[in-house]
Amino acid sequence: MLSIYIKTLAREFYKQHAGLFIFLFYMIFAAVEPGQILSFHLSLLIGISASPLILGIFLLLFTVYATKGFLFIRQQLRQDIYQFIYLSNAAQRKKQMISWLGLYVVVCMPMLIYAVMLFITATLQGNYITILALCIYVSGLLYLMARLTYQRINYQFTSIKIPFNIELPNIRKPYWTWSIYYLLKEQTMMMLMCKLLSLVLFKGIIWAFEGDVPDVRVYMIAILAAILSHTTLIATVLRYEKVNLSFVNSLPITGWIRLAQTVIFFALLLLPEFVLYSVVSGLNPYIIITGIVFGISGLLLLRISLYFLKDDMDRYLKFIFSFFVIAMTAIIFGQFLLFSLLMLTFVTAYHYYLFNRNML
Amino acid sequence: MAELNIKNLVKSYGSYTVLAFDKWELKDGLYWIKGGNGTGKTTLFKVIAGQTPFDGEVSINGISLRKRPSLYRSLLSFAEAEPQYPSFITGTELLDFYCKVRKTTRKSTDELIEQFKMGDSMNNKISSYSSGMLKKLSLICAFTGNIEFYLLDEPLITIDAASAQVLYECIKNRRQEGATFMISTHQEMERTAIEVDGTFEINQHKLSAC
Repeated sequence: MLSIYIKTLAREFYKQHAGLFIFLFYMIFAAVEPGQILSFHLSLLIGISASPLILGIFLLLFTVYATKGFLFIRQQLRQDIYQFIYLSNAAQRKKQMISWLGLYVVVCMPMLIYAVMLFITATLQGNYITILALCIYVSGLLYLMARLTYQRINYQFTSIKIPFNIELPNIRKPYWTWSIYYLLKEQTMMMLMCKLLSLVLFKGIIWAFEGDVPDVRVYMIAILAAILSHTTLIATVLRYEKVNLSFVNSLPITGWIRLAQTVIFFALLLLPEFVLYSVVSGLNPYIIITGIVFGISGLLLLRISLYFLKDDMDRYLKFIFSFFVIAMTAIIFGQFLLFSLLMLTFVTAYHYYLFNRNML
Repeated sequence: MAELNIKNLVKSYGSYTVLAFDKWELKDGLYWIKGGNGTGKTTLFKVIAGQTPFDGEVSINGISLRKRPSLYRSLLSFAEAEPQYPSFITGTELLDFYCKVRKTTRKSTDELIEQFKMGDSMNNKISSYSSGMLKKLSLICAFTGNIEFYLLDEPLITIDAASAQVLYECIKNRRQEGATFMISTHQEMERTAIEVDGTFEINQHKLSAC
């Protein structure tokens, strides 16, 4: 059972979050000078090991990551293509629990690797309270996720109270709000986790790289992190639109109106990041406009790439990697506005081309 | 009065060709499209509705789907066999959207809602609808506005006998106003109250008159 879970659910998790992993990998290893990588991480590990506050922050980050993984698996299990996994409820309880535990170990692997390094550091430093807290918290969290998934698979016949069911005001919902409403209403936790991660990364980058003299490139890297945090959300919304909004494709709506509606949707989606960005960039109109253009055009490019790649996650992963490399290069060389305008031009042309070919 | 014209149509899913024919014309009338499961009836409807990519040319009254997609789409209405809508919106919100896009008033749909006995459910969320109610909502949406060309894919599935009679009446009324219909169904159309002007069957990727 575990191998099939890894080949399907875990694989899909890593594929869909590839952008985020690439970015995090870059920030953890490539952003530090090569000669200082080891000493930087050793200092960090000793810091976490010695300070309960920093350990708390580490465990909080672990929880955010694990919750994201858990929600992703839960969402996948709702899909028709994963209904076969429910057949596993015929297996022994122990075997099922071990398999789900194994899956969450694989899903949480990047954080677990760091946790193991922290465990070794704490042992060498003799910080036994840290070791105890780390072991209890991490194993408890993994068990909880496995247990909740086991419950879902085996007790479908019992009603579940949704803990975060946001009751939105019962107002008329115009068409252009349906996608954002879908995220708020039906993907509430996924949306919250995505925004949390995006904002934490955004603020973290500003905090880590901001010098005495404001550098617009730091803000752009923060926007890039926000874009990459949304890769899964974009794929989720697109799949919803393909199924539940397919009827719109036979209605007389021009390609330009569709594009405008998508731009509004992305502007709403990135609104918290844009507000934070405007504040930290000192309300400079040029920087604000550049950031907004970069953010929206980046999301539009990722969305259009899913059409272009026919929703193939393998190729989406490669595309995200290429996008990250090109975007970082453009930012480092200060060509982010040109890059944004190029993206916008490409997206507009491709959108119009697709619309005429009835792909959208 | 609407005329459909299809030229050099090829529709494939990967290496599997579903539809391939050189020319097909439909004059004003009501046409029944027959064919077994998996022969490509729904695919043909989706091609004409502009919902799926294909090679070839499709036009209604000389207006090409490729060249003037928005104008082309304003001429047709497509009711899907298994309609899917966002579950969190109400029937009223969906119908409002159709009215806005098709530039018609909500008042014009009141009679349809009453005929299909959906008045009590229109303000409920779509997630609370049964499959029959969902189908009736899709038919109400399909008949909203002044449309010249109707594509009804399996319109009779999941609806009750009384609603089927309402549907026949709607089709008859729109036919009298000059609308053209393409209907696919596994039911025998001879047993319904609808007068059919022609029957076509999809077989081996091609359409042939019966």
